[in-house]
Amino acid sequence: MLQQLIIAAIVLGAATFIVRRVWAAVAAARAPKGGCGSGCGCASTAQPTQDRV
Amino acid sequence: MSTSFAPHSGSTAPVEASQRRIRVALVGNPNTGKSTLFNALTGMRQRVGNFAGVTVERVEGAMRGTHGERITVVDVPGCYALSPASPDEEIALGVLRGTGGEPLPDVVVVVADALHLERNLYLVSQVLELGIPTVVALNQVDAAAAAGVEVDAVALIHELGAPVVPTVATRGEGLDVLRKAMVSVLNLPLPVRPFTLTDEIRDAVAPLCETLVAQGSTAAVAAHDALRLLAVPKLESWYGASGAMIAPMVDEARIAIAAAGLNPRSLEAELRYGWSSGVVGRTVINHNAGARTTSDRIDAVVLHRVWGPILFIAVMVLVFQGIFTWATPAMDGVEWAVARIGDAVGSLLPPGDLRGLIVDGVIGGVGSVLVFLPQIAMLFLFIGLLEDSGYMARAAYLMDRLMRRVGLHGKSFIPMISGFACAVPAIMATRTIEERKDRLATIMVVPLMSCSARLPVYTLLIGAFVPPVAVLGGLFSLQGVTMLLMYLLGTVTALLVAAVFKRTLLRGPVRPMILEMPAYRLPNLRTTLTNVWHRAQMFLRRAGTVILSCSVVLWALATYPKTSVPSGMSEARAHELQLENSALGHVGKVIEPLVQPLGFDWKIGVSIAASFAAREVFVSTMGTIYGVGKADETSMALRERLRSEVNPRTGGLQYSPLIALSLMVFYVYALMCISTVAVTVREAGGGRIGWGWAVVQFVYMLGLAYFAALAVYQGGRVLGFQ
Repeated sequence: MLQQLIIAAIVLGAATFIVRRVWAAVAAARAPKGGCGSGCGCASTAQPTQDRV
Repeated sequence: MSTSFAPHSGSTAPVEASQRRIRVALVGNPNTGKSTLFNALTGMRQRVGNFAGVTVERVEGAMRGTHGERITVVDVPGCYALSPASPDEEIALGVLRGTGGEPLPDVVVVVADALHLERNLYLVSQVLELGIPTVVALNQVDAAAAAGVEVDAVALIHELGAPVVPTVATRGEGLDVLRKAMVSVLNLPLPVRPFTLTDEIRDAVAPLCETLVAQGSTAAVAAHDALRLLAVPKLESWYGASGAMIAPMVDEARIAIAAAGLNPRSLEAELRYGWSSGVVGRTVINHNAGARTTSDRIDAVVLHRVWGPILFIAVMVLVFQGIFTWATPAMDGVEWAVARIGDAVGSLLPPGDLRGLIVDGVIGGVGSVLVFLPQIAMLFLFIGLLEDSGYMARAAYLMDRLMRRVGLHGKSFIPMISGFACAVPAIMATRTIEERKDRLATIMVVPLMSCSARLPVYTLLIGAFVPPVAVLGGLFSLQGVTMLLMYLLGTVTALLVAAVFKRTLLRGPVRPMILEMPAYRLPNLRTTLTNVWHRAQMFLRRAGTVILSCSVVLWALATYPKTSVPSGMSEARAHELQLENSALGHVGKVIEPLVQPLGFDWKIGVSIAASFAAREVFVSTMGTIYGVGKADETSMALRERLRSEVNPRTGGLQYSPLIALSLMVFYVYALMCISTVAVTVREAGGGRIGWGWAVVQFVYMLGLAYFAALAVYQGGRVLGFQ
């Protein structure tokens, strides 16, 4: 039973992630400018880093 | 202004240095090293390359000034002048003018190429006129010195009335001085137009300046715009609806200038180039003036009418040969490691569904994609070397004649080549194309260029069904040549489809291309390897997120509901029965009639459907499908499974080289990438127009994929292949 619960949680988590990805892509299409959306695999390499002195 | 202190007051600000916030815009001509400088200043990893048009969007980074000031640096696309001819130049102009929600920068750093100072000074003169504190970073002074060009920076400071800092961004030289200058320039007088206008010109544009000031421009910006507007054919592109209001004033100014015996259309260019030529004459010594450079000598061969194309084809063959041959040992190593991990984890976990999920779903799915990491790295290594050496711009030049023949602008070639890496940044790279119809035509065909996500699909099928025999006198392997043919198929089709678009929906004239040839240089190994590492990281991240999630969900769909297997049934048949009765099997059976004419079974059908999330998911789905129920077996590479898979009904082999070819052709053409659809919507104009073009793109590519695969499979069968 515990094993089934763990599996259900993992599968549910994975499915949720996929749905969020699709939603993010649609939202990126609506965005007026900039970037290609998070997690598209080729996203802008520019991620803010800590300040350089 | 975003500063928290009174700027340009000439006195030390009362605010703690560490509390100061300064916004710096980094502008300059294309390929002057802006992004390299940006990376060096902020520690970020913005993409760089030795050709024009690498940066097509604004990117912000943070750094600290020498006294702890918080500096925001904004890297913008390169531009030759402050005129919004193309979308990327609009972005640069928006940052400098504070339009479109952009805050005005406190400081502008103009990155000027020391080797081509005269041309770079055109933009410098325009920026100085805007009246924003400006620092000139005289970059690539090392390359200039190597070419015998010496710039007197002190004399240049006097000419410009603004700080000039010699830098070598690739080596981090001059950056400390530049950091200081970014802050200290705020205490200097504001820059002004570095040349004077004659009384006739000043009087002619004075009414126009007054109108612009009345409309809200500052005096400095109005003075700059008045001169610029004389040459602008479409005032609306600069001033929107109010363009019509100022049109009579612009016409009056043009008439007055023409009456003075000057050409109003070319006045600005003549004034600026006249000034920059004088400045260069007083500040630059060229010890090798007129001599042929090394780049000239190399170009004599690389751009030769006969040798150039031959060399280009040879380079392409070498690249794909290398991807297939040289990456194989590393690929075998990853394959072995994945198999051993699967075996080890399988032996540690107790029998049951959880073991199935981990071994078949996660390791079987993600592992089957991870195997292709060496090939991905090899592809980006080659692309990086070609870009950084300066060859990519030459390739664009070589292809210009062909591009024009199909109706595309020569500038389309760079986005198309970028499409070999990923269609999303490639579509964004079309922002460098001025003409909207040319840009749209390029956007529509870029996804036909085989991106790196297709590489695992090609490699899996070629590795499984194309024998590694030598061809063409033993010089090449058939596997490498097959891979090259898949890439060529996509490229040739892209050109043909572009020709169709340019003769139908996107009909328009073909404009000549002006392309700057960067100097050849030895590729910077650190930059190239950093780029490869970064791409490998992105691939791993994709494997650990999208592909992992899809593998888990597909494993569940392939495992449930459970089927009771009659006793005495062979293991292979029992496995098949479970799959067929699973949720995935039911979905597959619905899809099967659609894909059967292409030679595909339901397993390939569901793998194709799943790969809409990401193309590599095709491989992971096949890995999961062929792993389900077999976790207790010794792990076998997916390609070997495909090669040896037996049809339980017929007893013959399930897949054949013809089916593999049909499948590869399908993947050459199909647009199986949700991110590409999203970026097409946005870059094609957004809203209904954007969605309209995205639907056209998706439908024509899917139709092309289906009918091409159908032709390959059915044609092959007619010819006697199985």
